Amino acid sequence: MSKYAPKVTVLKKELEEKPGFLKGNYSDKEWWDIPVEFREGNWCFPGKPEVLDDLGFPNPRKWAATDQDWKLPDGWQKIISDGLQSRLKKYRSLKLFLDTCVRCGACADKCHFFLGTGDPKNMPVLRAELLRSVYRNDFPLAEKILKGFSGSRKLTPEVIKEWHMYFHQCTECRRCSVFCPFGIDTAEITMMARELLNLIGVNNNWLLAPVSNCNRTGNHLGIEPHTFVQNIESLVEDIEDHTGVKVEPTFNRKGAEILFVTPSGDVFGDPGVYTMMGYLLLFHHIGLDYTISTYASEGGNFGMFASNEMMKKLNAKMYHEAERLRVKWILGGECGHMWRVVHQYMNTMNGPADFLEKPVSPITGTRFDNAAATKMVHIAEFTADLIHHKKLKLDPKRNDHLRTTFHDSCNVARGMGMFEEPRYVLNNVCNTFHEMPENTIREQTFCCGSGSGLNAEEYMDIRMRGGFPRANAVRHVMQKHQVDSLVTICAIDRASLPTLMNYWNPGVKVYGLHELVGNALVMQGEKKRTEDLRENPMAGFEEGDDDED
Amino acid sequence: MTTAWGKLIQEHRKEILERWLDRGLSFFSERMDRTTPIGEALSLGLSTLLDGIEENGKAFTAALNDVVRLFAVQNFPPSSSMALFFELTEILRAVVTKLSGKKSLTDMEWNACRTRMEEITLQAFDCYMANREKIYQLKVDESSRRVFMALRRVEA
Repeated sequence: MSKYAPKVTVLKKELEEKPGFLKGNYSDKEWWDIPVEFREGNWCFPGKPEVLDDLGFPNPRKWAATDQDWKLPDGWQKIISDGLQSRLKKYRSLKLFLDTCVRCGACADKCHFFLGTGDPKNMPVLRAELLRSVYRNDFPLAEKILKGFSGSRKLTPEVIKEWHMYFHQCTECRRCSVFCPFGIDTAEITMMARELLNLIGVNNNWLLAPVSNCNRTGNHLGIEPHTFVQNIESLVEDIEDHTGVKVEPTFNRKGAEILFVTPSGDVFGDPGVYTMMGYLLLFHHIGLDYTISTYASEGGNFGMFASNEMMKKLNAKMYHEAERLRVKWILGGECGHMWRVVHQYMNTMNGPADFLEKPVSPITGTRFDNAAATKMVHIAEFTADLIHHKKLKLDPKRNDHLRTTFHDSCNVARGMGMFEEPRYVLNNVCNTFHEMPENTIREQTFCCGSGSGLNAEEYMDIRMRGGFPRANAVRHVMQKHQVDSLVTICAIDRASLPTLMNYWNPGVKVYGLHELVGNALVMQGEKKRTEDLRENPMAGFEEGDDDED
Repeated sequence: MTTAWGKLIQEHRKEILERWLDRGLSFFSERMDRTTPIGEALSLGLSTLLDGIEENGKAFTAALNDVVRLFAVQNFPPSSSMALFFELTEILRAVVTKLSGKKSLTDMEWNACRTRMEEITLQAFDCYMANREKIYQLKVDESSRRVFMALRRVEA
């Protein structure tokens, strides 16, 4: 026996004294008998009736998760049951995922919500079981024979409350799937469960309001076209103030070579706007023939977290707009779920985009074969290619006031397998970059804890719990390497990580990758730069210093 | 350590830390595993607290905030979080009784120990409230950041 094996006495003591893994104080009950308790900080406000009306979603009403009666529609059990059956037929993956899990538990401790809360229903295996237990009940014969063994249960209002609680403590980040020996994608189970909940009006306003906005105005924030243009023009003025260079983006210009689409947070929110300034500087630097649409003014796709139909509809607008503007291909900004939707679903959902051309960089001539189907190239990939071909004049010293680490955004890392390009760019635009621990980056990256439409203020407690594993990894490099800047390539990260850092790691600021690119770019005709795009002083570039060696 | 009770803690540090950590982990809906990020952070925080428990040094104060911050966003009530600090006296008493036999403390020394524990508990309460208030401030800040450009235009 290995000397490292646990001692029998220790195991015996643990067995006798430690509560059962799933039973806690409910030792005489099944896991599904443990009630859910909604209290301040652990539920999102439900969709407003007008939002549901706007979207044509069912059962618009005023209600709250803390209400005893959730005012479910008549026949809601049949709606769920029929909804599940139709989705099992439509999505073979769902049936496969529900049938193949052997409860090995490899996923259990991989979920950031389980790690941050210790709640067993946040183990992906058990979260999926919340749905699977109802699915099993829909097989009468098996139920009859295996009653009590099959893990099936009746659909009750308490089950719906449990679904609402735990399928909104999953950010669909897919970290669990990396470790599943069967490759079960628990995120898709969550997607289906949320779709079913939406059929009976159990929902989340922070998620549905952006969907409604995007459906109406083209972006999640509900920015109307003229305001969208004014915001970018305002950033153009800022760029001129900082650098002395006037960049000249165009809007809705037919015949441009490239349509640029980015999350609306980059046009409206802090710190996203600094990333937008970085994009604009980059495009000006290389003389890119591009245009920005005020109608497809959103890269993100919250439809993905509501229903497949909404995801499809919101994704389609980008392609319709590309067709209308007669561009050759689409360049996409730093976003998370936009890329998950484009990379994994777009081609079979709205594709093929055969009216577009296979993307070729007009600057380097590189053909992006990986985007042959979607005709959409990720900005990190595009910039990495520019740097590789030495097409950018960069001065990484201009980011010497920042000590960086990189957060792999779940949807870009696990959703499309992009790990190297952002690191390559980062290493070329700054001099101080430190990786977080190996099991918290790349395909094993920890979610920000606020993805998939959970970035609501009222949900702050849960978000801080779910984001703790990520924050803990940042803390590691903060203490070891004095890292003070967390760089990321996702708009939700840029919105939520500043809050997470402020709580767990005060002093760490959050940056978009292309904000650092914008800092480092040496623009033709620029004035002497002493400040970064946030107007913070650059180290070694103070007034009176020479900024070039 | 200069006090009699402080020296006892130092002497039985491993056993006390073990029991204290165990109590902290048991507050979670299932006993939180000590190898999780929370388990590790709690272990580090509590051990730092034990090492500087006699006075409010820099490391002690930072560790107190680290520990309380973990609890301030969890599902259990504030009273549970504060109970962790009350319980240290009892853990100390149990360990001392079990392991030290005659080497226990005088009533005066126990009183001094309890007084310090109460002081720490009150400090922890302040930390807890500060972190809760921070959560509300974060909500405000986040809302402001989200409409940054609109606010900028209003302010211009």
